[in-house]
Amino acid sequence: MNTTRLMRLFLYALVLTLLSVNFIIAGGGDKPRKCILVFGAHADDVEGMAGGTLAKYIAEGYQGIYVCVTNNLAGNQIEKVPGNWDFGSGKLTAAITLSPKMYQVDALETMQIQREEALQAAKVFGAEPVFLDFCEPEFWMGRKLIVYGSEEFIKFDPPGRKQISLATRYSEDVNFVVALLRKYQPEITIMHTPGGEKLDHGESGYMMYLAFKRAISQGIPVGKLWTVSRGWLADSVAQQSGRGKPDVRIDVRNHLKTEFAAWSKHISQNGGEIEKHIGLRRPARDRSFEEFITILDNSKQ
Amino acid sequence: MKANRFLDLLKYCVLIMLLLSNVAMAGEKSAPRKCILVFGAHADDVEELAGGTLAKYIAAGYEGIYVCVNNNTAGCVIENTQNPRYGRGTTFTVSKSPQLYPVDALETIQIRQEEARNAAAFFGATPVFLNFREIFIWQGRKECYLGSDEFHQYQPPGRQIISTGTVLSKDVNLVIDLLKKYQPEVTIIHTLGGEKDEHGNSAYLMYLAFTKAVSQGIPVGKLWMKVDGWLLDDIAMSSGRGKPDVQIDVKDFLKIKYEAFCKHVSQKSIFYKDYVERGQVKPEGMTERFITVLDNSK
Repeated sequence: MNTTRLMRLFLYALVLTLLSVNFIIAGGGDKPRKCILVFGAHADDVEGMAGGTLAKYIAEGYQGIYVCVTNNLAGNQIEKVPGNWDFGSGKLTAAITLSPKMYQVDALETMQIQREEALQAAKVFGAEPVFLDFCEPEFWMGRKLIVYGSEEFIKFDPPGRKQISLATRYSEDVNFVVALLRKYQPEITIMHTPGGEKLDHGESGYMMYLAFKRAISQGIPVGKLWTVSRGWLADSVAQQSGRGKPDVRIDVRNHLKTEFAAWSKHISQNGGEIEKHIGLRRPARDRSFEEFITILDNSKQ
Repeated sequence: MKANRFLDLLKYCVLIMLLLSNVAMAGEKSAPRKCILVFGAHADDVEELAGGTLAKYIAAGYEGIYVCVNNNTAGCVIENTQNPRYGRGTTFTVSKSPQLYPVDALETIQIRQEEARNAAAFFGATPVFLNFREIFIWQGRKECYLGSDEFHQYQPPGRQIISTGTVLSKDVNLVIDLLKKYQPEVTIIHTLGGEKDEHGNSAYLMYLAFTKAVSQGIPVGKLWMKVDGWLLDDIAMSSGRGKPDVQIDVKDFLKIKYEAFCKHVSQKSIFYKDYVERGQVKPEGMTERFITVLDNSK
């Protein structure tokens, strides 16, 4: 009799413990995790968008997620390799190939090269790389540009999911990004400007916006969604009216070294000399601060 | 000798007159024309985007340009046609079918282009069809999207899809040519990055073309966009990012707007007509609101 009572008590205690653990887990699930997710369209977009911020948050103990949305079928030029291309002046030296012309690297090789570079860059940050493999809308076949949906594109049959703008239409693709948010539950998510930049950038931004809203509606604990202020938001009309003015400013001065070291891993893009490269393209920009616009804030709910 | 001097004088006079007329013409070229261009992605988007504004400007003497960016290979449901109970469930009085079926892609192009022409004529506007490809078609009850074998085998007519068009110069230049031709004082687009694929991308295509047109000295005026998507979210409204800076009172033009809407018989137009006739238009429907994206008039 005593043994039976003891067994019952033990069972009640076990059930109570399990309930408490579940309650704690559920409670923990109401808040986003100490995690920052940067949603870059191409292999080196994370750095261009928020490299310093990613480095800073990781240094503060956040988990960093380095996302590459497309599969990077295009964007390598064989002559643009160190020694053959002067990244400082932006001019072809032809010292290696002896070719006065530029040729595009094959789509599948480009995919491999850029993915490898992104893996190495993520490692410098100490971030987890995630490749979503949405299909780039074009690739080069020799000197011919092949666009998504054309006969040549279909025959080449490159790997990957749908083209990103097309994917924003389909629940299965949006849900794929929702699943990413469910997995990491990031406190901060950073995306490209919606409608503000070239196709893959703007549309990957829009894809994240759709997924983030859906995640909120499903009770997934995500925090804030920030965007960079580019495109029409950077135009004088939007700057003067205040629409394009950032409301988040992150001091990244102490993290530029990490950012540049990671960025320089994208050798096919900047020859491993990012400081020269961005110095050439954006000489006036002060990189000490990274600024963003808050698009959604679920932490206030 | 005197005759020579007279001839020289005449030459100088002609030269001066030519110079003056060139200066005058250059001055004329730098001002946009009294023209309003509404850049809708699909056949009935012009009405939804800025139907009242288009009607109002045309009534004020502006030339109206009614643009349909894509070729509408999808978007007709046969059971919706001429259904007076639209929005309140199908009556099945015509097809006797308990299910809805999408209309074939090529028929849909024809039907919707015809409807758009009728609507443009009702506004007194010039219709322009850019024929960018819609990104999907229906084959029976199967949705076939660009990139799939079925889509490719079907070979629907048209240019690139709009999103890819934004990557290619020739497609952006097509829109620049449109701006060069009409030199509109006002151009209206969907929300940048704020709406579904073709809406957002058609807006971005016009944004690119407009920016290039300005850089090429084409006399275009203002680029306005509808307020939708993330700009309607609480955070954008409270920060002021989503607040419109242009408000057009269209209450006197609602009848034209919705009559034009009704020309899109294959869509939900009859429902809108009910709205106006019964005086059910809400106060916020009396005003059309926009955000200025670019202003070349300054």
